[in-house]
Order: sequence, then structure tokens, then C-alpha cells
Amino acid sequence: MEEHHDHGKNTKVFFSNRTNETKYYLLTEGSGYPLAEFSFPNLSTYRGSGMVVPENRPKTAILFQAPMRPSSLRKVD
Amino acid sequence: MARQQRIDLIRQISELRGSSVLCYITGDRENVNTRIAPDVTQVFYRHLEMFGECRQIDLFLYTRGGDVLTPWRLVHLIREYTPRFNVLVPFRCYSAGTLLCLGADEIVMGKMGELGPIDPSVVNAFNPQDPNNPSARIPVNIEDVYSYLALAGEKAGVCSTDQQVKAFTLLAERIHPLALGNVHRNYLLIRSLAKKLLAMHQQPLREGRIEHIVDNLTEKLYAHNHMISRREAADEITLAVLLPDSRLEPLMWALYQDYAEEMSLAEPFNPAEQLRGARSDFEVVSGFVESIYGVDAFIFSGFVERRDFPEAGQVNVSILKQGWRSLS
Repeated sequence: MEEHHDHGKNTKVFFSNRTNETKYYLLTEGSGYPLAEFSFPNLSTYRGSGMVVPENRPKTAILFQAPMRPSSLRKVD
Repeated sequence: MARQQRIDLIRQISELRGSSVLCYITGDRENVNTRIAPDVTQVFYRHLEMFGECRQIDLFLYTRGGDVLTPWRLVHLIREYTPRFNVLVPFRCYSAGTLLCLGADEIVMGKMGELGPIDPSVVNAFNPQDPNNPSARIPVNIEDVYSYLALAGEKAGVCSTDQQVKAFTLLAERIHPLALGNVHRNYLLIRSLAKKLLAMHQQPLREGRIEHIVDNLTEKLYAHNHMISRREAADEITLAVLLPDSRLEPLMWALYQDYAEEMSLAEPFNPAEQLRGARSDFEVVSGFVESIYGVDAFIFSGFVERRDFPEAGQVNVSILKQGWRSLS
């Protein structure tokens, strides 16, 4: 009994190193450095400038996989 | 792992090193980061008072950086309690973290240990606005400013005083003069701090070596995200790097991994996952200061609520409180 999986033929892998994503963070005088998109109803209590700054964190691989066609799976009894 | 398992690891490191160990982790979990900042000073004081006078203090440190002045304050505070201070670096220790390391007698770096340049970016109300987000200010890297002036002078053939003034004027038209003034102050500040921290070592470094280290960490690495391995730190930059032995290295990595798992550093904080019903409260731990005597955590707390306007399925996240909390 054999099983054949041809999903490898339908898979495309695309690596893109250092795909940067810019997000905006709230810089205060304290240790907290949260996403600026959040709401801060009590911001005045943080004693900070409340300055919004962009931050780029490099990301690594993107894996792209094409959807498998059902007929590519074969089972032989 | 629970605190008890971390205490066991900290105790083993402490016994191997003959030191009192203080762990300081500023988490870099996406969306809920923490950074080195002045509000941690009092937290350090709480732990150091429990330590009392020590033969040697090791700071186990993971950070992507933060405020430029806090490392100076922390090193001074730690040295109130010990004549010998070292930093244990299991992984990232960038920017202000590297600056803190300069005040240490030894930097114990595991294979994954990474330092970074100490070229700060400055931001205040006079910085340029981000064209993609007008509510945001673009940080200005001080080495970028001086590199531009060097580029104008060396490469563009700007030699005469008039031409140099013109090059500077061009810059001042793009960046507010008060932002440039802030840049210059911090250019001088970072070099001064680095030299003074290096001068605090139990075994004084010779003058030429201090200059060499400071030059390399400020302007000669050419990229702020240059990751300095322990070999480069020791051989090229001539920092006081020590390699942990085969007993210490796995303990350091295991302790880092414990914190990383506890704070889910590898996974972005996704508020939508916190939502149960129309509104849910949450608390997320994003930083630690820990010793065998106690643990403090930096906690963001707030709520997430469903908002089906203007588009269905949106969530709104409100941070009500953020700060250090003593857990034990």
C-alpha cells in the first residue's frame, strides 16, 4: 500500500528577508512603550511627552504556499 | 516556568559566579514593549536593599534599549552595594543596554549574546513630522546628522567655509534648529557617558582603549542595527568580555528562555484574542526585575471592546494603567 503526496509540486516558497514593518509606538518617560493605536484615557498620569514615534523591526522569511488541488492526493491500495 | 524554577536557575548562576544576581528584562513583545527608563531605578533600589553589601553583583540583562541617562544612574546605584559589577548577556542587549555594560567590570556573553551601537536617536516636539502619520515625530539619529556633514565635507568637495555653511543651512531647513541643537547635545552626552562608565571599572582601562571602544560603539559601526557578537566585542572593540563555561552558558540561556516564554515575546500581543463577549479586561506582563528575594513586573492593564462601527469586527484597546508592580 502506497501513499503519494504531490503537494510539493503545488508549493511555492518565497523568502523575503528583512521585510520591514513600520509601527507607531507611544514614547513616555516610563518603561512602557506600547502601540500608539491603543487608547490611553489616563495619559496625563504617565508624566510623559506622549510622543508617537515610528519603529521598524526587521522581519525574516515569508512562506507562500499555493493551495493544494484535491486530485494531487492519491492513495493506492 | 513558575517563579520557583527561575529562582532555582538564578541560585545556580549565583553559586557558579559567587555573585548576587539581579535579572532585568525589558520585553520586546510586539505591541506591548518596554524599554530602559528612569522609573525602574526605584525597583532596582528595592532589590539592592534586600541584597545588602555584596562581594559581586551580576545583572542578567535582556533589552533592546531605552533612555540614554538611565544606565548611568543604574550603574551608580548598583555600585553603592558592591565593588565589582558585571553584566550577563544571554541574548539581546542593545543600545542603552550596551551603554549599561560599559559600566561593568565584566560582560559575560553567551553564544547568542549581542550588543549594539550606542548611537542614540533623539526626538522632541521640534523633530520632523512623519509624512505617513502626521501625529508622529521622526527620531533623528545623531550619527546620521554628523555623517551628512562629513559626506558634504569629504565627498561633495565642500571645502570652503561658505560651502560648509551652505551645507549646514540646507540641513537646518529640513530639521528644526532646536532639534539639531538637541542632536549636538546628545552627540556630546553619549560620548561623555560612555567614557565615564568605562572609567568606573575596578581595574582602570588605559586612555587609548577607552577612546577606541567609544569610537567603535558610536560612529565606526555604521548601522544602528549592527549586532555585535561576543567575538567582535572582545577582539575588535576590546570590551571586557568573558565567555561563560559549559555549566554557566546553558543556565543563562534557560533563564532567558523562561522569561521569553513567560512574556510570550515571540508572539505579538493580539488584543482581539483577549475578547470574550463585548468587552474584556486584560493584564499583560511586559518586563521583569527579579532576584531570589523578590519579583517586580511591568504590567499593562486595560480593556478591549468590540466596535462594529465603522466596520464590523473591529476592536478598541484602552490602556488604563501601565507600571511596575511588586509581585513578591
